[in-house]
Amino acid sequence: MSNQIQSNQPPKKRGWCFCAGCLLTPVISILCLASAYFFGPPLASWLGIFGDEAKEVYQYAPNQAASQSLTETFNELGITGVRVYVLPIKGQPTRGAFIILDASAGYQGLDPLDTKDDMLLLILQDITRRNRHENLRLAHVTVDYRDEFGETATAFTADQELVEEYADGLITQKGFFAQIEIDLIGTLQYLGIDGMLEEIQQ
Amino acid sequence: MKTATKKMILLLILALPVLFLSGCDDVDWDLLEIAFESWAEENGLLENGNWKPDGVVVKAVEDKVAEITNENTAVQLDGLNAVRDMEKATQLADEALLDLDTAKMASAVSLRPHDWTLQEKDAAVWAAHGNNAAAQAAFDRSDDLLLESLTNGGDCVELRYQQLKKRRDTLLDAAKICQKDPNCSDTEVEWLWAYYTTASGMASDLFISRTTVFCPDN
Repeated sequence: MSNQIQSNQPPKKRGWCFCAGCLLTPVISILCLASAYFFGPPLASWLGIFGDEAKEVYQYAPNQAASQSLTETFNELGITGVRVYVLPIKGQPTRGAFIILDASAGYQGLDPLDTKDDMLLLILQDITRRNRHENLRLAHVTVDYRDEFGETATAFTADQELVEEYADGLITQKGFFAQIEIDLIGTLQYLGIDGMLEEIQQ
Repeated sequence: MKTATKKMILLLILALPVLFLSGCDDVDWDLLEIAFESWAEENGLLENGNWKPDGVVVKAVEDKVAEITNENTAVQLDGLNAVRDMEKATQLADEALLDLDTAKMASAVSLRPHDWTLQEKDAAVWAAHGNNAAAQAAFDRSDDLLLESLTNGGDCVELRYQQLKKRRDTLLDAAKICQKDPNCSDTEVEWLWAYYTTASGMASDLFISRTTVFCPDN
């Protein structure tokens, strides 16, 4: 009987607050996640939890003499379309060398004169020699391969210590390559598979 | 779905060396193939000659985490974006100097506010507009940034010499541009030549003496 009475009663209306809550909860959650993604890392960097971002680390002007010296390495070997920037590293007494192999600026490979020499070894030996004799204080060598449109196709980085081990013959070429760091995500993004990357990252 | 994704990744890895064709000769080809294989073996993407698609996923996730937490190697690679900003800022600043355009120069400086070379160009453009206070402020800012970049060591005298040479050359360019520009007055051209003469003299003195009061420990 009481059940019957209850079923005849009109359903209790839920307030607009309830509906707004249903809508706002996911929106706020998404906003929180987005904020954490975009503002979390800079905040963590600011608090000293993470390291500084690259934009801050390499904020100072390139050292003109050091950049010119390393560019000479390539000029002397007849390699065109290469620019080298040696940037001070903020908070460190060292510098980073950025080598841009730019097909849009005329880069045609490491051995355009077809000398059959081990050009990579020659380049790294010359960089090592200049680093020691001219006190360039290099911490790393980072290489950027740019295509005919100036877009980065791939990039890799190696600590100067590793470069010098290879240049001095302490490790093999294979050993050197095994320890460099290739920009996997950047290279995959160049292929235009952002969607797939998102799937991987999930 | 998962299998399809894995197959796709596998295909991409195998197709990766094709990327390196553009702008590369045979030496680069061989080298990059060895580089990629050695690197893939070390990072678990390749085992006994067999590709491991799972390894790509793991490595991509590791790299993303390294990027977010600003790990050393990730920052080094991301430094290439700082280099792009620098190239863009330098190009903008060069255009601004040619046009004696203060607004364009401000855009260049905003891209790399801690780069003293841009401040030098900014100073030259302000001088060409007859605003000596703004020019002097830019020179002062350039000096401050140079000293700031030396906080953790470096050859102050050498860097100061580089700066003075840059100042001299930039002012020379600005003076020549201003002379041809109908909007530049004779006074502005004279000011630029005066700045140039001062910078040139300072650079020559430093080249000979290798000492300067600019460097605190000198």
